[in-house]
Amino acid sequence: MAEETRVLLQHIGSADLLTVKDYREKGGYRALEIALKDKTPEQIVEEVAQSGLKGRGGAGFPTGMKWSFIPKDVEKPVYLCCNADESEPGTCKDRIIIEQNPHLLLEGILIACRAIGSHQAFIYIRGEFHRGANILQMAIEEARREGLIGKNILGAGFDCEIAVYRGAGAYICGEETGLLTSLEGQRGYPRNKPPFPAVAGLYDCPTIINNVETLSAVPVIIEKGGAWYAAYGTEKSSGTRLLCLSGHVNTPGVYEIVLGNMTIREFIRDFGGGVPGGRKIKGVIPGGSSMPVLRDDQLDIPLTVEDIQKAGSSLGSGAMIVMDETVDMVEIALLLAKFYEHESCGQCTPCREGTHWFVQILEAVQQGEGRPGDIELLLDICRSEYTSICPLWAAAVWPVRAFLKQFREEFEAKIQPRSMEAEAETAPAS
Amino acid sequence: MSQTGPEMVTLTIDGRQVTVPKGTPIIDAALQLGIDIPHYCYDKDLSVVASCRLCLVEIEKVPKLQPSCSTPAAEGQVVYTRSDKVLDARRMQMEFLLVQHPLDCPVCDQGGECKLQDYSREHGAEDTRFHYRRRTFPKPDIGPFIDLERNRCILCSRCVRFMDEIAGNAELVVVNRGWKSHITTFQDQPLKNEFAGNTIDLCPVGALTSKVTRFRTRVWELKSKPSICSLCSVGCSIDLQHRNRTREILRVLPRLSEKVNYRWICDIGRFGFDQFNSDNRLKKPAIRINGDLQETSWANALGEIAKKLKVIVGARGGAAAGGIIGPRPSNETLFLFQQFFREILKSNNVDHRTEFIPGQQDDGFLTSIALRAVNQPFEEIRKASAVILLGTDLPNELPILHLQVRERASAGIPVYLAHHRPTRLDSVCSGVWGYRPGFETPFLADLLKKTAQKMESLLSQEMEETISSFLPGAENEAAGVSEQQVNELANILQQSNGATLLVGESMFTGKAGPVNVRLAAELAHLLSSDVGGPPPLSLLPLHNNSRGAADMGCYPHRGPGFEPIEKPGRNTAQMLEGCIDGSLQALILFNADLLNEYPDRDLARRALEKVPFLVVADAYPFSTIPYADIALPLSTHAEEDGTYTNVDGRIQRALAAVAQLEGALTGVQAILALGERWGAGWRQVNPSRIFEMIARAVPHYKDASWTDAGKGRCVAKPVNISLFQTSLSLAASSLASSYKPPLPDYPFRLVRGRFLFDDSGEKRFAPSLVSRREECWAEMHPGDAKKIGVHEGVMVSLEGVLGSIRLPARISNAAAPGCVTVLGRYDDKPVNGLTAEDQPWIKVQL
Amino acid sequence: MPETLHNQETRKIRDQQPGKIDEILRRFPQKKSASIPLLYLAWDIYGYISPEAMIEVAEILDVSPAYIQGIVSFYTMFPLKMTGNYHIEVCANISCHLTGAQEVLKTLENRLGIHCGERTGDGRFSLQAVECLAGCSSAPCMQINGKEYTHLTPEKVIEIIDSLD
Repeated sequence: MAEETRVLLQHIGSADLLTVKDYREKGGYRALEIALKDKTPEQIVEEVAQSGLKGRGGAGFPTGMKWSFIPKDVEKPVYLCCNADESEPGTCKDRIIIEQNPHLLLEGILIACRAIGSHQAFIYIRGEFHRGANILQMAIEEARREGLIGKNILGAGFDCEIAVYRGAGAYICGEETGLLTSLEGQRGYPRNKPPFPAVAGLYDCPTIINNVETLSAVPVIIEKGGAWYAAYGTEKSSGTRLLCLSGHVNTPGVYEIVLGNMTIREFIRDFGGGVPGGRKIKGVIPGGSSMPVLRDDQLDIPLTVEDIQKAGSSLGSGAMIVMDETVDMVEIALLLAKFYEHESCGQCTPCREGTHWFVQILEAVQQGEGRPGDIELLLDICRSEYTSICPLWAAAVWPVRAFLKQFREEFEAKIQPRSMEAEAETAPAS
Repeated sequence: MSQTGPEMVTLTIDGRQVTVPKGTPIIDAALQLGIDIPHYCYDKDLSVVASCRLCLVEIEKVPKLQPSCSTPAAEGQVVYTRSDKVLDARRMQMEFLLVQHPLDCPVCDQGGECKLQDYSREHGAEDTRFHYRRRTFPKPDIGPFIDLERNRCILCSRCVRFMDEIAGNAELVVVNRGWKSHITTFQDQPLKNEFAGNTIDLCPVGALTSKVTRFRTRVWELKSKPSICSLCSVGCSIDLQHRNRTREILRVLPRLSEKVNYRWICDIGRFGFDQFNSDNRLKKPAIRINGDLQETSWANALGEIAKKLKVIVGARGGAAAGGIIGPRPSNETLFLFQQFFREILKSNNVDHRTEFIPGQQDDGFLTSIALRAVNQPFEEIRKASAVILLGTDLPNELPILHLQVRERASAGIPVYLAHHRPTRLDSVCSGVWGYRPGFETPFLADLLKKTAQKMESLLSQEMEETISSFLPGAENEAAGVSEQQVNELANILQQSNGATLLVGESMFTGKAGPVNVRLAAELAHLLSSDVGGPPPLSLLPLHNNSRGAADMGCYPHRGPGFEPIEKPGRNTAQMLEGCIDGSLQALILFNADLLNEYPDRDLARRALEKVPFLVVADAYPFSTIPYADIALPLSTHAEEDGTYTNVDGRIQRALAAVAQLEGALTGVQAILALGERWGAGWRQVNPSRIFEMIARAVPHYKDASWTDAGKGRCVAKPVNISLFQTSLSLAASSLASSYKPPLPDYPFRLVRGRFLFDDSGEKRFAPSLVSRREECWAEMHPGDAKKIGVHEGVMVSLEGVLGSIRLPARISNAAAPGCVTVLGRYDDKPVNGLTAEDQPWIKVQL
Repeated sequence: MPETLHNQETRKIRDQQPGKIDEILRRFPQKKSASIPLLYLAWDIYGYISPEAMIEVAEILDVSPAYIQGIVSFYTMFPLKMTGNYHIEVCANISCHLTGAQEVLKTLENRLGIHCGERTGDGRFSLQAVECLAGCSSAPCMQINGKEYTHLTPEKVIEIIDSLD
């Protein structure tokens, strides 16, 4: 039976970690001390690069490399933005850290700021996290009183401010450039890349955007070393991962595991306690709603980034959604299509028009009014997945394409009978 | 210092090489090869958003297609604009844009010049794969000029970016998200910005179209004639478009003019064209018989004028006849007008200054000529290190100059502004100073004194004396500017080497004009980087041919080219006085709406009533017509070839766009025909021949030609007249009355100013402008309002010694205490009928 | 710009929370960044984002009211009309959907006698279906005035509603 490996969640559930004192008792802010007093910024970047840490928001870009993109000797200020806009359906891991171990995140942010030469960090937290925003705000104020934020932190001559910025209900602001435009007080429209944020980001200044879980892994890497961290997991996915298990399982939850020790099915069985009522699994979305759904017969692969990729999907944000045999897959495809339709910012053509067109077609299919050729039409629309400004359009395309591919027969079943009738109805009276 | 050009890169597009400056977007590099990459959102003058995705191209070694508008050309890049992958993506984007688009091309005014039509034919599919209900949005009314049809919008956001980035007022925005996104104004309110009409040109589809042109034509029926806008002294290059088979003008579009309006025009110029189609015109000459104006023939009317003038001039000499011509007609008309008086009637009673009473014959503008001010605001702001605006409300006075100043400000050039009330330009200025209305001279004097002190510059003794005559003790307080504020501005000026000064009419017209211009020129000299050169000072006269009227010699004491006249005649004020005292027996008003324009309406009315023989020539029935003994119908600006000299001294030619109204003559034709009655020996020459006469008579026009003027390339040379003398003699004493306290019963100073959306001049003959006009109001300071119990919106009566009007009150912190400001000119609200110009005191009653 | 100045009698934020405006503006290197925080403040003071609230925020930030409307309409949390004393937001996205969000919603609609997007006649409740609230591992979930409720069942939501005073 597989077990958790708790690194980030080490004390969560067993101890109160909301105050600086509590956090320090568990060894907190030691890594910051090391980072500020014993390491140069270059050494911090090097350590993180060596750890193999990758972005935990979904895209999985190597963190150390991202930090190294900040141009040297820039005259403009450098900003760090912590992406706490956790909005990918199925994903609920960052808020555990925010709500239960806020200083871990703050410590990670401070170290990251030191590494990239930033003196101002913003935590962009989604508006719905009222409680999380309050907890962070209180933690920041306490940390400032304790000399951990502000001028001359820990007497090491490093200045850094952290501010909480609440979003107000827009999934697109979890996309890093959408986050920046939102933080600048605009509609959260993503920007074309290049230029990349590391060169021209917030207020046109060099900016690094990192996810909450990513930044929270930084203190342990600094404290125990990149090599220590890299020893966990697989080559492409070092360290531990927070996986969010939801949907049709008996014990949903957020679990911290090392990848490579179990199959997907084992993970669902051992951590999720199986499917309620002993029903069979029909499909599993392995990495948040954008990622292609896997069929039951694909679940016996190792739970690794590499193997899931080979199966045509991705571990994405680490949100695994289990659907049992009672689920109507056309309904789910429509539900997700509606989500992306609702969340498309509307700036660029394919996403604005495509997400709506998807919904119109899928709604017709679901209501039994599909037309022959609808499946081919949907797949044809999917071909434009990479023509948009940001990845949201691709994120809308992937589930549609995957549901069509994996459960095509369910779509066909809804289209066929109706279309015959429809044709009969619309046939010209002779 | 060696001049290094921009770094160049060479790239290959569709197999052909092109070399462009580094940073050029691929889409522009392709255009150099004649490859037109389809696009909607990209516009070279707006920020790049790359959102329409139509201009995607394939670049070797780059996995995804890239937008060619936001991707800079790079050395060695290999680009394909028509590969299968590109064409497929393009077809898909076209399909996306068309799925929700209504199929209302037959009733869409964009039809024929619609990018959606063009690209569909080129890149789209023949059939639709969309079988659902199309999205529809409610249709708002966003004002009388622009029709917003959201269902046709493809959300390219050009209009949004134009309003925000260029017009400076983000009145149009995208609201909502995703497929529900649409363009709107705040709460669907009407658009207010005066440049909004440009969004129609920018809109690639039929979402924004002209309400004024709506449903009146199809674009392929329109014929274009290059013209120059006649509504202000900027002189925007425009195309007047009329339908081939009628003489109706149906559209005005900006015509590219790099040195003036570039590709923009204001809404007054764009939507005011129905003045040219107005049926409310003078159509036949009329003659007063037994007290009534009755239609007659041109021959009869001209014969009668000649007969009367010959009698009057024969009996009393030329000095008994006078002519006032507005600053609007062409140079050719203006030139002939003064020739007619000088050569034929032997009278120097000629003037074009209808709007102010000059303090001395050499008014503020002539003073600036004498001081060799550069008088080229557009040229100046392009090269100046800082722009200093004095006494001007540019947004209400010269819209396109306002736009250019705004552009300089966003390019990082500091703009400083001092005026007696806030303006809409204030928000982009690096510094704004206010002074009390009417106290321009003390303010300038103080500013000059302090700036000179800070720069340790010595002023001439005459200048020192003049300054001190304006600074009697508590001068700063009187001017409403604190010592500290003037010091602050002086500090800035002191460091503004290379700055240029633009001075508005509130400073250079009127009795104080000459003194103010002297002070401003002295200030300009201090800031000039060109020691000994002309002062970097430009005055901003407002009418479309104010400059031309001056250059053509429509002055009682100066002829063409400002040549002094030995025996000066009377100016406007003196002619009107002459009408009243009987010394002037005949007056010709030519294109002059005198009753509305002259600052003392009462005097003007009495003069027109009294003068024994009054001829009024105009295109429209202005309020002077009822006083005429003979009325002559003139052609409009759109019916006449002619040149006009703009505020920069640029001599520009407009072509007649439509045939003359039957029965009307152009100004040139009318004066030539009149001259024939004296057998003047003027052959029936055409305007181009008259222009040759002008070029010979006006030294600073000598290199100008009719052909070059047609290309907008002609600029008047600096005036070089050595005989010019101006003195400061008028200084303190003659202006003193302005600074006296108000009359006991009339506690408020009446302050006037321009307002773009009023109904002055020809505006009231264009229905669209009438529907856009904003009603007149009286602006008061909250403290004053409280004292007399006036609330916002309440009707108040403004009473002066000569008359009264009723207006709604507007309470604003922008108003100076003790002042009531009334902007604009309204035919039915004769604010010039309240007081005499130098006694601007009124009372306010509920 | 006096001729376009909105003659707004009430400026509630400025009247009630002048210090807060400055405090918010100070947080950011650029003024516009304060738009969302100021809109939260406006929501608090005006009760919802009324046109007057947008005008006031626009004035503070020196932008056009239309610009603020563009922002408000982009972020779905900002209410454009009065919400109930208890504003109920039920997640209807995938994990909650799989575990019974639709039944929860129907139960609430029946109990309150309103549809999603509406407010009860007495103004006590308003109901909204929203996207994923990141409560997936304790689905279905909802928030009432920002407070989270998890592991919902039809019975449980009725209990919750009834327990609100």
